[in-house]
Amino acid sequence: MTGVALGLDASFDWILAFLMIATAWRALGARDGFQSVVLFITFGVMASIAWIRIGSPDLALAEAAIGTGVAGAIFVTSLAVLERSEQRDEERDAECEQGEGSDAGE
Amino acid sequence: MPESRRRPARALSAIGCATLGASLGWMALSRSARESDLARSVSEASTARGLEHEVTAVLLDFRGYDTLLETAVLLAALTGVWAVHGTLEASRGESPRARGTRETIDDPSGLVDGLLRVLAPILLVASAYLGWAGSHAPGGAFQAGTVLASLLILLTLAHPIDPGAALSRGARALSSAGLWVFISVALGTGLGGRAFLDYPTAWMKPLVWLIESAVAISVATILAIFFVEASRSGGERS
Repeated sequence: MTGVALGLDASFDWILAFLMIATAWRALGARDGFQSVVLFITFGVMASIAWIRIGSPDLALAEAAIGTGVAGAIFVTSLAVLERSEQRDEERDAECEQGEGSDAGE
Repeated sequence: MPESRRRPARALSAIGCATLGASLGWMALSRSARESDLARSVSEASTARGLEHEVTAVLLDFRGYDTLLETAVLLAALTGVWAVHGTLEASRGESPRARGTRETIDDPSGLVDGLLRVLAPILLVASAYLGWAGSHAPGGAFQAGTVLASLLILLTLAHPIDPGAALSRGARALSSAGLWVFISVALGTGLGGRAFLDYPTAWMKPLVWLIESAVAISVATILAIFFVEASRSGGERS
């Protein structure tokens, strides 16, 4: 890529930098947990590309594998577990309310 | 916290981030950083030590102590996860509820299993290549370990294992193997009359290869156990 056109490289870097900040912003501000996680993974892929642009393929590999792959997988499952436990809490609360209602009726 | 009270904290952290970003950018773009001949001297020194790749030379030779402690940090993190998550109680099965339930995926079409059949050999070879390439090209223990961990994670998805299995003797031995090998080599160089972690140049390649393989296996095991623990719901605390 280098040497083809100086302007192309520079504009790619600027677009990448802008997209990274925009993705990070949206990931932090997202109301939905799953959306946050997906944006975080997207951010990781872009960070990995940024490391390649800087000339650090070692860091790009580590970022793609650890920061994006394994961390992403852990976040997605943690989210599923969290949602399941919230659901269980709600069900238990509902059961408690029913129990109180029947007590009052007796 | 109400929205209005959060605002000063947000402004403060925004100012802090902006200052940090600006100073880092200034440092990266300043002349002294570009004109430093650190890169050249590192590259010369690593060639002299018999390692063609500068990053590996820095990680395992010049700053070997840092990497040794990094390996220890991973192990400490794993211990922390086990402690916080109550894995010990779960594995003893003291109360049936403490075991929690495992998040599994339904795989009626055998998609994960089929994918695994295709991916497992590729991931194994890729991981071995990354570990082997570390001495002369981008790659190394942590990258190889993570690729291996992704294979283990796919395996636990296709064939769920009991969380207690993560605490088995074998899993614990594999998780700490990297640190043990690293410390043994460090002590070995000390007993040989050299400084801590100062490998003899003639032994450099085999020693670095030994440490990298052991660390890669430990990294893979630890990351896979993180995933198994993350997918186990909290049990008792529900």
